[in-house]
Amino acid sequence: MAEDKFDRGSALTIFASDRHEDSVALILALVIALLVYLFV
Amino acid sequence: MPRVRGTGIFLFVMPDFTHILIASHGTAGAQAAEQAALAWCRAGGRLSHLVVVPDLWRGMMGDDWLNNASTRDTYGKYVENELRREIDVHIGRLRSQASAAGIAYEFKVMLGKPTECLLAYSREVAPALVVIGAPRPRGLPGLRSRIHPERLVVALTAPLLVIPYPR
Amino acid sequence: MVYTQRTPWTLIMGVIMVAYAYLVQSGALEVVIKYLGTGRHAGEMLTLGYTFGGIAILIGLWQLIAKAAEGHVDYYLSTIGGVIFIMLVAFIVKWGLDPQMAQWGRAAQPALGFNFASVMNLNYVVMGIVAGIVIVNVFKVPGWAENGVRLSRLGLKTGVILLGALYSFAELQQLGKLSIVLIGIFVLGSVGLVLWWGSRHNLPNSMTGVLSAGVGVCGVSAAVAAAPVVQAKSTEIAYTIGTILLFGVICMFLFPIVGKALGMGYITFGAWAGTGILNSAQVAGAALAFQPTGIETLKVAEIFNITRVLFLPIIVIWLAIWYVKREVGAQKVDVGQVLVSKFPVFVLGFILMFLLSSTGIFAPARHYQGSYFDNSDKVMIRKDRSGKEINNYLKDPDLEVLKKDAAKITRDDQKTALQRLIENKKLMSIEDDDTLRGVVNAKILSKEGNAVLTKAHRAVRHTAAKIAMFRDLIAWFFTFGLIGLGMQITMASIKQAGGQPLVIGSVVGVIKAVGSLIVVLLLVHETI
Repeated sequence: MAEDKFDRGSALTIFASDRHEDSVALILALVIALLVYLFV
Repeated sequence: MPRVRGTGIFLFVMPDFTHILIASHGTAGAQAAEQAALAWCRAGGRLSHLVVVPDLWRGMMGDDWLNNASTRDTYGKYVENELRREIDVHIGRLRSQASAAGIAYEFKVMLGKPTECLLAYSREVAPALVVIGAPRPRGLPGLRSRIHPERLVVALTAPLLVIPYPR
Repeated sequence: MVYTQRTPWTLIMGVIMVAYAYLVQSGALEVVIKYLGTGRHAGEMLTLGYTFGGIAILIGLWQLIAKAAEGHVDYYLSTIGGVIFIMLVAFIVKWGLDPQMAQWGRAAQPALGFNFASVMNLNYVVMGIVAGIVIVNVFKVPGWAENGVRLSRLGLKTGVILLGALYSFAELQQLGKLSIVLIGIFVLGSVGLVLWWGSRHNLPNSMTGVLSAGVGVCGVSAAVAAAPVVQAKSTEIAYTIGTILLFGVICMFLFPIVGKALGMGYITFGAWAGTGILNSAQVAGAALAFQPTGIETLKVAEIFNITRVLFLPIIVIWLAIWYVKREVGAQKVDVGQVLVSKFPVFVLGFILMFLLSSTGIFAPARHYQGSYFDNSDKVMIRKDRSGKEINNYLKDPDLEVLKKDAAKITRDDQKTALQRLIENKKLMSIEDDDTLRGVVNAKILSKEGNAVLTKAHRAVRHTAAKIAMFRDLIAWFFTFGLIGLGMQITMASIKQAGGQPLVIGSVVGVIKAVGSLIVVLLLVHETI
C-alpha cells in the first residue's frame, strides 16, 4: 500500500524530532556566540 | 459492419479481450474508462487496475520550517490514511462490478508520475489492451497530474484505448 | 542504511571554493572584484571560501576513499555535500549574480526608464530563493545533496536564536505588543472570515477548516496542523497547500516591490510583511529581500513570525472545538496535549540568547542596537591598513561652516551642544550627539552644515564588532536556510492551487495584505 512508499523522514530536517532539532540549533547558536565572544 | 442475415439486426461486434489494464483514480473521466474496460473484457478474463498516487504528494507532506515533528507525523499518517480510504472505496466499487461481470480483478497502487507508473505496470502484467480516460477538459476542478497519451503511444507494447470524457 | 554516497562532487566543490579564495587573496581576481564592486566582501570570501572549501575537501576525500559504515558518523557526515552545495549556490549568487544584476540594472536604466534590478529587488536573497526553486524544478536536487538540504531548517532556527542577541528590552516589548495586536486582529479576523464564508456557501466543514487555518495563521504549517483535526479530504488539502504556496511565492516578490514604491521604513515594512504574508517561511524572505544589506527589517518581521507560531495552538484548539460542534463523530481534542506538542522550543532559545545579550557581553555598555558612543583618542585618531593616519577630529573648514550656520539655531540646548562641538572639534557626550542629530533631522542648517554634523556623528558612533559579526552570521544562516527552503517549493504542488480554496484564499489573502498595509501605515511609526 501507499504508506511504505511515502518518505517518512521530513524533507526539511534530518532530525528525528523537533526537540532534537531545536536543541541542536540552540547548541550551535551558543557555540557560535561563544566563538564570537572569545575571538571577535 | 456484420449483420445477421435476414433479420435486419446489426451485430455490434464488441472487441473481446482476455486481459485489460485500466488506469484510473476515480474521477469522472476515469469512471467512464472503467465502464468501457468492463464492457470490453471477456467474461472469465482478467482486469488489472492501476491506481496512481501522484508524486505531487511528496511536495505536500507538510514541510514547513515552523512545523514540529509530531504535527508533521500526525499529518503524514492522516494523509496516508485518507488517501488509502479514498482508494479503498474506489477499488471496492470496481472489484464488485468486475466480479458481477465474471471478470477476475487485481489492482496495484503506485506512487509516482502517472505516465511512468502506467508504463511500468504495463510491462509487469503484459495486458492485451490498455484503457485510460481522456484528460479532463479545461476549467473542471481536479488535481493537476495527468497521463500523457502521446508518450504512451510511443512506449506501450499493447494497444491503447482512450475513452472520451463524459459530457 | 548507509547514507553516504560515493561522489566526487563534494571534493570538486571544495577545490573550487579554496581556489576561489586563493585567487582573491593573491589578487588575481582584483579586476573582477573591482568590476563587480565586491571589495567589501573580500574578507568573507577568504574566511568562508577557505573554511567551507577545506571542510569539503576533507570530507569529500573521505567519502571517496573510505567505506562508510552504517551509524551516526555516516548519517551526519552525509549532510556535508548538500551544505556545501547550498553554500556554493549562495557564494555564486551573493558575490557574482547580485552585483552583476545591479550592473545590468544600471546599464538598462536609460533604455527601460527604471532600474529593474533595484525595483524588482533582484538581490542575493531573492535570487538565492529563485535559484533553489529552479534547481529543484528544472534540474532536481542531486542525490548526494539531498541529506544536506534537509539541514536548511536547522539553519533558519539557528538564525532566529542568534537574532535574539540583537534586541533591546524596549524594542522587544514594543514590537511584541505591536505584533500581538496586529496578528491578533488579522489572524482571528481571517480565520473568522473564512469560517463565515464557508458556512454561507455551504462548503464542507473539513474544507473550510483546513483553509481557514492555512490563510489565517502561518500557511502550510497551520494547514498541516489543522488537516487531521477537521478530517480534510485529500483534494481539499492539495488545493489549500497549493494555494498557500502560490500566494506565498507571489507575496515574497510583490511585498518588497510595493514596500519600496511606498517608501516604507524598516519597521513598517517588517510589520506589514509579518502580518500580511500568508506563509511564514516567506516572511523572512520578503524582509531580507526588502533590506538585503542589514537586518533591521528581519528583526521586526521575525518577532511577528514568532508571535504567529505562538498563535497556532490557539487556532488549532478553536478549529477543533468548532469542528466537534458541527460534525457528529469527530474526535475530541486534548487541549493540554495540543499546547505542549505545538510549542516551539526554539523560541525559548531565542529568549535565552536575548537574556544573554542583555547582560552586555557582546557590546560595550550603553550600546543601542549594537552601536555605542566613544570619543577617546584611541578611536578618533587611527591608522588605516597601509599605515596612514586617519584623524577624525573636525578640520578648520568644517568649523568655519558650523560657525557660519550657528545663527540659524534658536533652541538653547542645541546652541550649547553646537558650541561644545566647535570648541572641542568632536562630540563630547551621547546627549550632545542626540541633540545635534535632531538638528540634522530638522534640516535647520545648510547642506554643508548638515554634512559636517553627520561627519562628527560618525566619528563617535561605532558598531560593536561582535554585534556586526552577529549580523553577518545571521544573514548567512538565513540565506542558507532560504535557499534550502526554495528547494522545497515544487511546481507540482503549486499547480494544485484550485477549486474553492483558490477563490477564498485569494480573496482573504488580498484582504489581509491590503488591510494590514492600511493598518500598518496608520498605526506604526518608524521610531521604536
